[in-house]
Parts: sequence; structure tokens; C-alpha cells
Amino acid sequence: MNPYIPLLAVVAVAFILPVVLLAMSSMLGPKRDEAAKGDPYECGVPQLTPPRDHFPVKYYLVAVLFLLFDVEAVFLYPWAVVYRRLGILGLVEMAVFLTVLFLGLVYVWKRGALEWD
Amino acid sequence: MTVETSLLWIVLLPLLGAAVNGITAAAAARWGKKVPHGFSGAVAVAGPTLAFLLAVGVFRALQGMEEGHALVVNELFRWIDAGRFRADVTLLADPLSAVMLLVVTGIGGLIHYYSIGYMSHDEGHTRYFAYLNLFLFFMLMLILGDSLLTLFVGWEGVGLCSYLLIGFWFEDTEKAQAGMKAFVVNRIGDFGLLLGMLLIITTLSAGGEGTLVVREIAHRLGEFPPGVLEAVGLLLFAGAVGKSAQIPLYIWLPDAMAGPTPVSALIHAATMVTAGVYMIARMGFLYDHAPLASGVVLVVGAATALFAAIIGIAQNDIKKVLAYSTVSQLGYMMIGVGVGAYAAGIFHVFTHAFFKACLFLGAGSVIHAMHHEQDIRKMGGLLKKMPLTGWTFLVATLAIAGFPPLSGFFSKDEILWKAFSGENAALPWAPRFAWLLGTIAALLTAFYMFRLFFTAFLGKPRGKAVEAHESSPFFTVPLVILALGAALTGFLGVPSVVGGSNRFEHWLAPVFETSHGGGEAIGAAHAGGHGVEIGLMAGAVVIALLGTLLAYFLYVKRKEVPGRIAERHPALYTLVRDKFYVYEAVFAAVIYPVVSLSRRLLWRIVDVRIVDGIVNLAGHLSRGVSYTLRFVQTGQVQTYAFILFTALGIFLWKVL
Amino acid sequence: MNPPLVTGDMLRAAIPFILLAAGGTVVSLAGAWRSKRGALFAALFLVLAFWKLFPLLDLEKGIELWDGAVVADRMSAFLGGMLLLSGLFALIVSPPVLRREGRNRAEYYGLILFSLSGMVLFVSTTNLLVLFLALELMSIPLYVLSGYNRGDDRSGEAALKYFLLGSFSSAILLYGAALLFGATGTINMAAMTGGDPLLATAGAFLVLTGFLFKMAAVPFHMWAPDVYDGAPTPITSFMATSVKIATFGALLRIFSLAGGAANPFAHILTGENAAKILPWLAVMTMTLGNVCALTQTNIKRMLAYSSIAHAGYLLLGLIPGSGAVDAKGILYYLFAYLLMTTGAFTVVIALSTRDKGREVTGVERYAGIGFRRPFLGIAMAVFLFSLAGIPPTAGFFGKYLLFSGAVHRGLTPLVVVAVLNSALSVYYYLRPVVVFYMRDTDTPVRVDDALSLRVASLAAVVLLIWFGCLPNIGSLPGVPALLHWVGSAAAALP
Repeated sequence: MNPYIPLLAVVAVAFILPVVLLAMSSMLGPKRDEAAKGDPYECGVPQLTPPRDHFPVKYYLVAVLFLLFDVEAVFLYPWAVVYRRLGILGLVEMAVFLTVLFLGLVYVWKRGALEWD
Repeated sequence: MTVETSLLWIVLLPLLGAAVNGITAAAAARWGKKVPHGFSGAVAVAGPTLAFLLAVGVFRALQGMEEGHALVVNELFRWIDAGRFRADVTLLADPLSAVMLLVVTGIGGLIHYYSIGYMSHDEGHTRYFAYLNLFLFFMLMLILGDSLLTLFVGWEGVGLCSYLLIGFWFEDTEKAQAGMKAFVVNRIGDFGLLLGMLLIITTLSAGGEGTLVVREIAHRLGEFPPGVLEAVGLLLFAGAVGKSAQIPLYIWLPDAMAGPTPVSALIHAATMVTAGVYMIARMGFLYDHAPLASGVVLVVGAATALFAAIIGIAQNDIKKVLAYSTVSQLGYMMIGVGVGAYAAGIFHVFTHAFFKACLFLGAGSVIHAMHHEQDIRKMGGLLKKMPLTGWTFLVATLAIAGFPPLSGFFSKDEILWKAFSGENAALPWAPRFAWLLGTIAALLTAFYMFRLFFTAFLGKPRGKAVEAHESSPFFTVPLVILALGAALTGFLGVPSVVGGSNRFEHWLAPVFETSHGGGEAIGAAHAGGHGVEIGLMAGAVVIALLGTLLAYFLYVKRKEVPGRIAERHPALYTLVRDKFYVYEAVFAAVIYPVVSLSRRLLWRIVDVRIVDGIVNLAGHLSRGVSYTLRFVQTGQVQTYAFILFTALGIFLWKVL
Repeated sequence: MNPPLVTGDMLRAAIPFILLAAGGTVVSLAGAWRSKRGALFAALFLVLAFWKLFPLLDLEKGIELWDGAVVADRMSAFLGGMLLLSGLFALIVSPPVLRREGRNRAEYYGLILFSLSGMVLFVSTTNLLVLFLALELMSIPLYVLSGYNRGDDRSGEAALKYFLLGSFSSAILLYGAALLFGATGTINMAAMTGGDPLLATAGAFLVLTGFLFKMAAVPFHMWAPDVYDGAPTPITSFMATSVKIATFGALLRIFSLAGGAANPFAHILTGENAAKILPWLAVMTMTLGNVCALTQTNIKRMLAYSSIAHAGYLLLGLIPGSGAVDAKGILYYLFAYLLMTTGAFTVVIALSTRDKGREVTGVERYAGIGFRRPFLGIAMAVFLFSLAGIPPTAGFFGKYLLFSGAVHRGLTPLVVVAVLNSALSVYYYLRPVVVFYMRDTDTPVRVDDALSLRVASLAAVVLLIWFGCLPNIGSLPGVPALLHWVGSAAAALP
């Protein structure tokens, strides 16, 4: 038997299930339109402001920067594990990597992306 | 300066003159200034004059060389190098081109000189001289090129210049159209020439390197199958028919009178129309082995000679008469080369250049004096008013009519004798037939030329002729020189039968000796003997006399007779006067159908309906497609992603 | 003893790659302090890299770098040279545009260098992982750059679309790479053999799709008009040329590996069903590109569609037919395409105006400009004639090489379609020329007379004609020399 058949089965189920569920709900569910139904859900409280509001871009910036440096830092763990086996070459490579990362940090800092105000 | 470099300068000098005058004209037009007349005239004359002197030098050098090896070659540069085809631009002077060289630069130079007087009142003289020099340049390229390709460049170049010069006064629509007519009719012939050249290349490519160098073609003539040889001969002749104004493409030449008269002289005497004859003589080795093509040349030439002579009788415009006489004389030249007597044909080119240039320049002098009156019926008595013009005109008329010992007698007689004694394997009747037509044409030639002379120069002055007076030395000096030439050049070719040595034929013999080396399909059989030749010669003199007397009788003694004849046979008269309706026939047979076909079918249906229809359909279709695509190109990234994945799915399904 | 880890040759070969990446870093970083002279700085690195790349054109044998992940050979040197030329043009023509916007920042040039380093890497590798890395390295700066014009919302929209769809395509390519690895157990495409044919073919095709997206082949082209239209014009020019060079260059390298029948890409090229896909793609791409360009009135959008059409012609060279992939034809055509497209966009830059922060590039505004600005008019005419494939330009010669090569490989029907397409394209290429020369208006037109724009368009005109018809003159390389380089670059492939 082809070893990929179970995989194929999973894929098929993954496709079929949502389709069937959506189809059933649209067929079986009652369709009554009311004004309140069209409103965005806001914890059961009547809506106060339009939901499409601007968020300060700083949030994204900080989040992205955190993500970036965090993920790069993760690389240090596997390197540390095999540090001895990689030897001097590994050390040099990691130094280069960290230098580039550091330069990135310098750049971000200098451009003022870390300043909140 | 070596002979080779002088060969180059012969070609370059007129080009230089054309450039100087052309740039001056353009600059003058740009800044709204006038160019001093003397300047452009001097520039224009300098080129041909120097070129003529150099040409004499080349001629002397050739004379000094060993017979049969008289060649001056100047390899300039490689023009085309494409696979198995190579073309160099090389200038070559041999006895044949040397003769043409002297004619073109010498007589061309005289015409330039004459133009200074003739164009003195014209605004566009600088432009005019630029064209004139350019004309000479292309003609020299045509003569001196060692391959058909360079010949073709010159060939097309003179076509262009004739267009520019015939339509020189382009403000006049009729004249501009005459220029166009000359150009278009010539193109028809050029098409044949081009096809002939391509046929030569393809044939030779089969056995090695394709070439258009004349000497190499001669060398490798054996590679041509006989049929192909005939085809090449006929195709090349088609080019000559256009350029040398033979039936049926002669129709452009009479219209070419629209240009300034020196231009007519240049076209008729020194350049352009002789190109066809020259080309056939050049390719003589080929025609020797193509009896059918030669026969066609012969018959067409003979028919043209007679036909044009008949039309010439009823023309009243002085230049038209001369124009038809040129067509007729070209017919003689074609008879000469058609029967394999290339030297005789070229000899006639040579002598004709003198007397025809003299006639045209004389006519120009008359027209100038008559304030642009060209109708001979409104002239008369000009011999007394303009003695130099009149007497030189008479000499040239005697020459063209074939009175001994003037040049035309010897050259025409030589041709007719060669035709009489010639043979043609494909069309055995053709040589004698050509002789017959040529002889009748000779009678008519004497008749119409003296008709012209008697009407215009004798009798009582009529109209503006009363106040006419002799022209300036710019006119008369060339006339005298040309008249002397017309009178004396015949002695270069006095046949041996009357004690001459025919130096002209001896001079050209090395060029054409290959002609008689190989096949004997055509050529002058030296049968018949001296008695016949002398008899024919005497007959020719009688015929010339007869024509002259007839003209004298009709146009001096009994002037009412021609009118009465015309009255009694109105149909015949109109037929001849209106040139046998050849143009009308060509119009009805070719031009009208083509035009109406274009208009009715090609334009209204093929172009408007089908071609435009297809274009419009394509437009609508692509617009429709674009519209559909715009529907798809929504700008919505979701749609794009959807299409991306759908396409991917379809392709994957197809691939796997 | 082990062979030395790093040799002098390797270092020399690696320097251009390193210079570009380092240049990007330095220029961006320095820009944080001084953002004025970014273009000059970047150009310095670029020229330096170019200079170091030049000797590689004569390499006898490819040099493997970084454990064979990257190969420096004549092919990568030639492609790299073209990419750098494209980058150089972008550096030259950008400052006037950015100055108009008041955002002439060094980061912009740093991003161009980063993207270039990705592209050079892209055309020099047969390693799937490095390929993906290079793809992202070249694409991500481009996403940013297409949105660089923040004052124009179309620019932002372009960036977003490009980013989203580009991510999809990267994902597709990555998925294909995973399948390939799964089927053959290696990520080195040169060493791939055997494996489950279904998986291998699917993987190869998915990887190919990633490429098709980047080169804007129909039907994966949907992003191109919008992005090309919205991006700042120098970036459009850069994208339209360098990305095509990079993708076609990389594909050449990959397809040339497919000599062995067991290589997954051989399935794509010669498989019974799959081999029909490429011809269809080529036909669809050139036809759709041309048909859509026909009705465009915006010259930038017209050029966008035209670049799609040219991708179609180039695809012709990738179809092996009865022979092999036509590397020579593709390389020459890419060179011509680089010059004529960059040139045309440069003229567009000189002629474009701003209207409420939006760039306006409608053709009709430039009636009679050919007489008022003779140089620009003539230059544009040369570029458009070349794009249409009219001699004596390099565009004609390139088309001639591609089409005649295809005929020799037995692809005559495709060539007929391509020639018909070329004929169609003449219509829309000549329309701007007609407007430039045959119509006239009295409304004054503003034209950017910046020196750098003139220099760039003059250089493109000269090179285009030079390498379209001139022989070697003395020590100056002409068409034969270019053909020699192209030939030797093509010969570096297996």
C-alpha cells in the first residue's frame, strides 16, 4: 500500500469537513435578518466607536522588532549545543552573525524606532 | 597621379560638385540667401571638365597598353560579404568604358557649360547644377563599375536623377508628373534587370560563389544552362527596354521633355538612354550564346526604329520631334547589339551623342531665343536670325539623316550592313527583317528631320521668330564643338570597304573578341562580299537624299500638300500625330485596368472590406479580449490569488 | 591532510557577493547618520563589485563556494554583470525622482543593493535552500521598494499586493522544494536523481511556478500591471529588468542540469504531458501581454504588459524542442531587453509629472514632445523600435537569435505565433512615437532635465545600437564580442 494514502485521507477529510459543516449550517440554520445582527460584537455592549480605527504603528514596529531579534536569538541555542564540535569555524561564523545582528540593532536604535514618543 | 587614382577622381569629382552645390543650395534655402549664379555654375562645370581631362589621360594610358590587355582597375572596397556572395566596389576601365567615359564627361561637360547660359534666369540653378553633377556621377558609376551590382547602383541613380531633373519645375503639376512617369516606367524595366541579376547569382551559386562581376560571369559562362542564358538575356533586356526607351516602354522619353532642355540633351545624348545599349554590349558574351534573346533585341530595336520615326513625322513640337528621333536612333543601336555587332552599336552611341546633343542644344538655343515657344509651325527663317545655331543644326541634321561623310552615315550604315549580313540561329528571319525596317526608318529619318529644319529655319520668320537673335557664347561654343564632332567623328569608323581602317572597331575589338570566340549562334557572317556592301552604302545615300527631297518638296515647294494629305486621310494623320495611340493603348490595356481594379476591387473591397475588416476585427477582438481581461484584472488581490491557485491546480493536473 | 578550507580563488570569487551584501548593510547603516549621499555610496559598492566580477568572465572552470552551495562561473559572472548594470541604472535614475518627493534616503539604495545581492546569489546556485534564501533576499527589498512612494496610495497598494502574492509564490516554491527533497533526499538540484516520479514532477513544477510568478508569465502575471504601475518608476524599471534576468538566469542553470533523464526537471522539459506546458505558457504569455498592451493609454502600464510579452518571447528559449535550452539566445535577449526597457522607463521618468501626489504618465500629454525635446524623442523612438524588434537595434538582433534558434529546434509553429505577436506589438510601441512626433499641442509640458536621466538614456541608446549592429572596432567590443561572451557564458553550463 502506498504510504501516502493516510496523508491523502487526512487532506480529504480536512477539505470535506469544513465544506460539509458550512453547507449544513447555511441549509439548516434560520435566516432572519435583524439590525442588531449586523452590528459588530463588542462584549454585548452597544458599540461606541467605529470598529475600523487607526492603531498607532508603534505597536507593530515594536512587535516586529521583538520578533526579529527574538527569533535570531533562538539560533544561539542549537549553536551552543554543538559548540565544541563546530570548533573555531563555528565561533567565527556565529561572530559574523551576531555582528550583523548587532549592526541591525544599531541601525534600528539610531533611526529612532525604539523611542516611544 | 596614377591612372588608377585618376579613375577614382573621375567618379568623385562630379559627386564633389554635387555635394558642394547641394549643400550650398540647402544652406541658401535655410538662411534665405541667394547663391551667386557664377559660383554654382563654376563649381558644376569644374567637375566634368577635370573629369574629362582625366578621362583623356585614362584613354591615353589604355592606348599605351598591349592590345587585349588594356585594363585599368581600381579596387575600392568590399561592399557586401554575405555567406557565399561577395561584392566589391571596383572601378574598371577598358576600351569600351573608356569610349563611354569620354562621351559622358566630354559631352556632359559641354552640356554643363551650356546650362550656365540656359539656366541663368532660373531661381533654382544651384539645385539644378547639383542634380546635373549627380546625374553624371551615377552615369560614371554605371560605366566604370566592374560588376552588374555597381552598374545597377548607377542605373538606379540615373533613374533618380532623371526624375529629379525632368520634374525640376515641379510647381507645374504636369512636369512633376512627367518626372514621375519617367521614374515609374523605368522601374518596370529595372525590375527585369534585377530579376536577371538574381538569376545570375542563383545560377552561379550552384557551382561555387555567387558573383555579379562581369568578367567572372564571362569566365564561368559554361555554368549556365542554355535556357537560363536566354532567360537572363531577356530579363536584362527588359531593363534596357526601360532605360533605353524601346517599345513598349519608350513612353516616358517624349514626356521627359518637360525638364529644362539641357537636361533633355544630357538624357538623350550623354547619359541614361545609352545605358541600356551599353549594358547589352557589356554583356555581349552572354548574348552571343543566347540567340533568342538577341533576336528579341533585334526585332524590338528594329520595330522601335521604324515606329518612332513614323511618329516623328507628325510632331510639331521641336523637342518632341527630337525625342522621337532619339527613340528611333536607339532602335538602331539595339539592332546593332542585337545582331552581335557590339562595336557598331557603340559606335552609333558615340556619333549619336554628338549630333543629338548638338540638335538638342540647338533646339534649346531656339527655344531660348523664341521665349519658350516650341511649336515649329510658329517659327521659320531662323537660319538668318541665328546663323550659328542654324548652321550647326543643319550639320547635325545632315549627320542624323545619314549623309556621307558625316558621322551618322558611317555608324548607321555599319549597323545596317551588319544586320543585312548577320545571322540568328533562333530567329533566322530577324536580321534581314531588321535591315528592312531600319532602311525604311532611315528614309523617314531624313524626311522628318528635314521637315523640322525646313519649317523652323527656312522660309519667312513667323511669330516671335521675327525678333529672335543669336544666343550668347554659352550656347554657341558648345554647338560649334558638337557640330564639328558630328561632322568628323565618323572618320574614326570608316569601313575598310571604302578604304578606311575602322579604328573604332579595332579599338573595341579586344573587349568583344570573347564574343566571337565561342558559339556561332549569332554574329556577322562575312558573306556577301564587298560589292553588296558598297551597293548598300550607295542605296543608303540615295535613301537619305530621297527623304530630304521629299521634305523639300512638301515643306518648301508645295506647302499646301501636307495639309491636303492630312485632310484627305484624317484618320491616318490623327493616328500618326497621336503617336499611334500607344500611350492610350498602354493606358487602356495596363493602366486603366490596374487603376480600376485597384479602385473597384482592391480598394473598395479588398482593402476597405477585407483588409480593414481584418484590422478592425482584430481591433474589436483585442478590445473585447481586453474588456474581458479588465473584468478579470479587478485590482482585488483576492481575485489574483484565486486565479493563481486555480491556474496552478489546472497545470498540476495536466502535468501529473 | 584535508584540502584547505578556503583558497585565494574562492575568496576572489566570493568578493562580489560579499561586497553587495556588505554594501547594503553599510549604506543602510550609514544612512542612519547621513542620508544624503546614499546613491553615490551604493554606486561605489556596485562599481567595485562589477570590477571584481569582471575577471570571472574568463574563468576556466566554475568555483564552488560555501560547500558547493554557490557556484561562481562564467554564467553567473555574465548574469551578475547584467544585474549590476540594471542596478546601476536604477541608482542613476532614482535621485531625481526621489528628490521630487523629498525622500531621497540612503535606505532606498541599501535596499537595492540587498536585492541585487539576492539576485546574484539566485543565479549562482543549484541548492534549493540557498535558492529560496536568495529568492526572499531579492524579493523582500522589492516589496518595500514598490511601496516606497508613501504619498501615493497606489504605491502602497502595489507593495501590499506584491507582498501577498509574492508570499504565496514563495510558499509554492518552498512546497515544491520540500517535495523534491522528499522524493530525492537531497537539496542539491545537481545531484537529484530518481525518486517517485509523481512527487518529483510535482515538486519540480511547483518550483517552476515560483519562477513563473516572478517573471510574470501568464497566468501568474496578475500582480505585474498593478505593481509596475504603482511602484516608483525607477523601481518599476529595476524590477522589470533585474527580476527577469535573475529568474531566467536561474532557470537556465536549473534546466541545464536536467540533462540526465532521472532529474526531476527533465520531467518538466520532456515529460509526455508536462512538455506541453511550457509552449502553452509561452504562447499565452506573449499573446496576452501584447493584446493587453494594445489598449493601454498609460505608458507605464503599457510597458508593464510589454514586459509580460517579452517574458513570453524569452520562454521560447527555454523550450528544448529537439535540441537543448537556448542559453545564448536568452542571454543576448536579456541584455537587449535590459537596455531597451530601462531606457524606455528612463524617458518615462523624465516625462512624468505629479498631480496631487500621483504620478501621471498618460501618453497623450506628450503630443509634439519629439520636436520640443529632440533628444528625449529620439531616445524614446530608439527604445520603442528596439522593443518592437526593428533593426538595426539590439532588440531586433535578440529576437532574431531567439526565433531562429527556436526554428532550428523544430518549434516553427511557436515562432510563427511569436512573429505574429511581434507584428501586433509594433502597433502599440509606435503609438507613443506617433504622439511624440505627429501631434502637437500648445500646452506646455514639464520635463525633468536632470543630468543623470540624460546620461542614463544616452548610455542606453548608444549601447542598444552599438550591440545591435556594430562590429568590434579596434579594442572596443561590438556585437561579435558580446556574442563571444554570451557563448562562453552559455558554455559554462553543463
